[in-house]
Amino acid sequence: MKVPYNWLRDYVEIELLPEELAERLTMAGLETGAVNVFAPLGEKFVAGRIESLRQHPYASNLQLVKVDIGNEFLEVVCGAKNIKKGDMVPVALTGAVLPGGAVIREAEIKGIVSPGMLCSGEELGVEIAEGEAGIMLLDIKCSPGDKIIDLLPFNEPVLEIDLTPNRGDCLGMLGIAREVAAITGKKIVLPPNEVQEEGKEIDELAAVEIKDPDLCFRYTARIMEGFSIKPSPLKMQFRLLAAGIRSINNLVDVTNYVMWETGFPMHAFDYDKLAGGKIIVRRAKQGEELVTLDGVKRILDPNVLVIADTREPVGLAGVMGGENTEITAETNRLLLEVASFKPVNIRMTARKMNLPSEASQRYEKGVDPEGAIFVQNRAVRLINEIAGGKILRGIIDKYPYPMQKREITLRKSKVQEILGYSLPEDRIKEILTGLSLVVKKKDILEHDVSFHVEIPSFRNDLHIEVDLIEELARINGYDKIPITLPTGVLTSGRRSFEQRVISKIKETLLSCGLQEVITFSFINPKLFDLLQLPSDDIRRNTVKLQNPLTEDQSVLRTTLIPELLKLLQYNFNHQTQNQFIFEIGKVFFPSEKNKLPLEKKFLALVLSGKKPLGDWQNPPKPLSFYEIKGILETLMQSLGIKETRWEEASLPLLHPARGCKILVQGKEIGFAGCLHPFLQEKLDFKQEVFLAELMLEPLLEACTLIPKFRSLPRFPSVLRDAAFIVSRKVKAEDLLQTIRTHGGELLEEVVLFDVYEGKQIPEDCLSIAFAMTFRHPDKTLTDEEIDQILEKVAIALQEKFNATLRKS
Amino acid sequence: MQENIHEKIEELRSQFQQSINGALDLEALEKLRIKFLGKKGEVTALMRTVGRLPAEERPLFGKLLNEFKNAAEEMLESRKKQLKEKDASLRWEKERLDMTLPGKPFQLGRKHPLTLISEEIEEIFSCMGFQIVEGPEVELDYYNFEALNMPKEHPARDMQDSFYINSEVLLRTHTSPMQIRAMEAMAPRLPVRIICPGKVFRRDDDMTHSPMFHQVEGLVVDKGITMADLKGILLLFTREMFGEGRELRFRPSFFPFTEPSAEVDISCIICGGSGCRTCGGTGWLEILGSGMVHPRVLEVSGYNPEEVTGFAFGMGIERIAMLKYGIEDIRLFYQNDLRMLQQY
Repeated sequence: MKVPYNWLRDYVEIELLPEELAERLTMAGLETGAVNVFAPLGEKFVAGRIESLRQHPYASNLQLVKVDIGNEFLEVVCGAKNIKKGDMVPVALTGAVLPGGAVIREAEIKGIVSPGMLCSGEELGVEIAEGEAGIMLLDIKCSPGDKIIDLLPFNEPVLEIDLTPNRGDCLGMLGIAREVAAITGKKIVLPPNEVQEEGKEIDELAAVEIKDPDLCFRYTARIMEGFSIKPSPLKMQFRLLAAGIRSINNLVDVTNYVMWETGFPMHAFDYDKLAGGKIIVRRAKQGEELVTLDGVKRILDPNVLVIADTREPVGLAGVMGGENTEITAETNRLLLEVASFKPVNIRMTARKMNLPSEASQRYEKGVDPEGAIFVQNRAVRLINEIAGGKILRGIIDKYPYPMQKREITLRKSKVQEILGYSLPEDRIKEILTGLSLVVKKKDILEHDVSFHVEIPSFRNDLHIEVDLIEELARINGYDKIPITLPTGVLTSGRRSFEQRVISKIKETLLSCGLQEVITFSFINPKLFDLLQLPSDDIRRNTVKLQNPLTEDQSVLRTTLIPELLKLLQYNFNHQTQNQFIFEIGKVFFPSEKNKLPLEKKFLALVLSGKKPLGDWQNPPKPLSFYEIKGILETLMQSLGIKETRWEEASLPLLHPARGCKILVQGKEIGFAGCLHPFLQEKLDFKQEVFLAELMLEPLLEACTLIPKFRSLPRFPSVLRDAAFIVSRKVKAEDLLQTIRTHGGELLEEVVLFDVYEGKQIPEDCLSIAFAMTFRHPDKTLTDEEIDQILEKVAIALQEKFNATLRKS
Repeated sequence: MQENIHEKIEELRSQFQQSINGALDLEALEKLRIKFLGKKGEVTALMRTVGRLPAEERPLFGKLLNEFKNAAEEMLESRKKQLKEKDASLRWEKERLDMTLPGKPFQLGRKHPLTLISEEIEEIFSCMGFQIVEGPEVELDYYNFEALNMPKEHPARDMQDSFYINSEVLLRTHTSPMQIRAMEAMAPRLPVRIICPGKVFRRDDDMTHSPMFHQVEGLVVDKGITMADLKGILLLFTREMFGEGRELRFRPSFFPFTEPSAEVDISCIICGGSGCRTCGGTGWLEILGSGMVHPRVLEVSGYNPEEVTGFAFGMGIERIAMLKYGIEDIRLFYQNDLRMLQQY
């Protein structure tokens, strides 16, 4: 809300500079900045009185205007038609700089030299009333030669207040003035609202009926006649402009001016266009139509509250008036509505019609029905002042259920309990009274004092005791609250098991050289098509957003992979060829049973590029599947997970012959492999990509963070290498398994350390070499003992896989 | 005969002397050693002749020969040391490395900057006895709004434009629903001291708003918790997070689920409070919202507001990361440009 500083001073005495006031308001909870809205105007703009006008000798559309600027007369060339002898106008002298940046110089216009310029509002950087085309007419008391900046509030400081949604009462200058009064200890001054009624009784002309009192709390009306519609006085125009409101004409300007002043929106109907002279406040009928002031035809329904005459709707209550009863230049009589509607209803209508306005914004926050009469009188008085006309006798006031006075009991002890410090009784009373709250009664209790506080109707944000405590705290200043630390029982801030395991996973992946990334939880479902997921893939069954910002963020992810692939693409395009990334995040599956979807944490890895990084001695080598597998094995090791199996499988996303399921303790927990070559091509990746995705839950279940200690061996181990020639079809894991089984208890470890193909090996075979470590817990093993075991192993491999021991 | 003995040994000595001077490497030296002192060497050969000497000459001969042997060994040793040193210094020169050639790179993985900030915050509160809890990213309207004093059509909902799944379910717009969930899980036990980091979602996308971002929520409920305690905890936190000299400023504000509510500013971490571009010249940076838990919120979560009080606070992790790292566009965190991520 924009609050012109000098306008605010109409309602409360202010001794603070604008910046100081802004600071004080901010610290009282009204976030305020001080700004200047108009372009600063230099001293070369002065008031001039038009002495005479004559036709420009060489241009029929121009005039030569002689103006008195105090100490001299100037004759300037001017094209505007709205000026006459005796008018006071702003004159830009040579050397003046217009807000747009142009400099006024002595210029020859159609053969006549003009030593200056008469200014329009636009030229001065001010958007003034529509009716006033041409030169700005100074309707204020001034003399030729007066500087414009001294006459008009060009340097008016404006406070820009960012209000919290609970303070609807501060959407009017009076509300702000009350805050200022409470902070500074001054009193507020209400603007005059006494009216001089004359002519007919309003009841003879009009009637109001509220058919839906649940949506309209109060409706007041007055009628005026005989006013003249014209531009408002400059002072009012400037005030409205400073507040960010365009000046239209004196009638509209008054309704806006008083709304700004009181926070109370109002609407003027052309009385003579109201059928039956009657206002009916009712729910719209299904399908009823209304063309609103913006020229848009609205189709209504019973959720919308309308103002109607006896024939049809004439306005959307609290949102916008209808074209059918609009005030025009021909209007003779107006009916002014000042009413209070149910906030939720106005909010819904404004949203549905997409018509947020200054008025609806105020109604949504709640407009105090108790204030209606004051506002009604204030507005007609002001119309009378600037537009003339008569205020007819009487006021229509429909107020079916007058508001009840609200009282809150405030205990002194509770103040201490919430704020951590005690406020003296006098100070409590002083603050409450300063805020226009009424301390009605004080009860002395055994160890406490309580106040009965009556809440004025405009403070619809105050309902319970703590609300008052906040008022005390903020007016007294939050800086007065002491600084202490909570006391009480000690609590352990230890991380949960899950959090510790996830830390461990991250640590491990980081030490493997992987970079953590974070991507959005929502994705584009088209990615599933791009990635050619089968139509029955469970990952296609997503939780959809009703109102996404873009299709790219329209469903919750069921896998981390698509976004990681996009990210890979982005980084390839930005010249990062080596990408080793992982993400831990939630994926979402619709739940049949629950309202909320299932949220599962997943871990995904995507690798592409070369490893090692390469240096001046060793060129880097392209990654293979075994790097990503190695990382996952390292991860399992670090989590103390045994029994991991890699089961070849043809899976979506993956190369049909280079993909596998990962099983932990027999349970499938995810997959790993090479990106399908067709996808690689489609995504325009120039190099192989390796990926893996795992569910975290089973990892947590299988994980042991604290391994059990095994005592260190007392006897030396014996290491033996052996290579076997086997068919390419035989799986390494099967060989290892057989060696483990037949190696027995004395085989401590077996490591596959070489796979060889070449001259001495048949083409359909490989030579696979194992390093076996043997150890006996209680003695040193002899060569003979080991030879025996090796022989058993060799026989088993021979029998099972037709493997032959390679003689060295 | 005696001269003979002397002569013989003298001859041996001079022969040895000549040879040793001629031995230019360790190999030649070793040959020399074998020639003179080896099992079949000159000294042994001479020793064998001792039997042929008259008995009275034998001791002298033995003594002289031994003396020679010892001296020879000593000379050999010293010559050996000399040669070794020479040899070594030649070798060192051959083995010289250019110590300025670059080392071999090891790949270093890094955490996402938001993880770093979040972990730092968690660490600080964890040390103060706050439990770290997590909650669902998709939330019921009840927890996200209703239980937090924001019934349907409440204007405060405008502050947080939401992504809906259906009329009852939405992506949480803040981590505050965890206040309710945590209290429900704990009630009636005391004290409640939690923080809840996590992802939140709002329909906003520009330089300073991302449709997904991260928050950390904090909540303390106990007997006798005051707003002064809130100030104390947050002051401790900000000084840990941003440095000893930081000051805090509490400004009255409005959140439907706290009363009184406060917006919290820290003295600008760039200019220290004198005013700069980052703080818009005010010297203050807004970093979190906070307040005393609203009595109705306590009530719906199972606590009696006449018996216990509490405070809550919430902050944006991106905001803090942007301040700490000097990042001006929030979207950089989610672009995941590795050139950016690898800086942290």
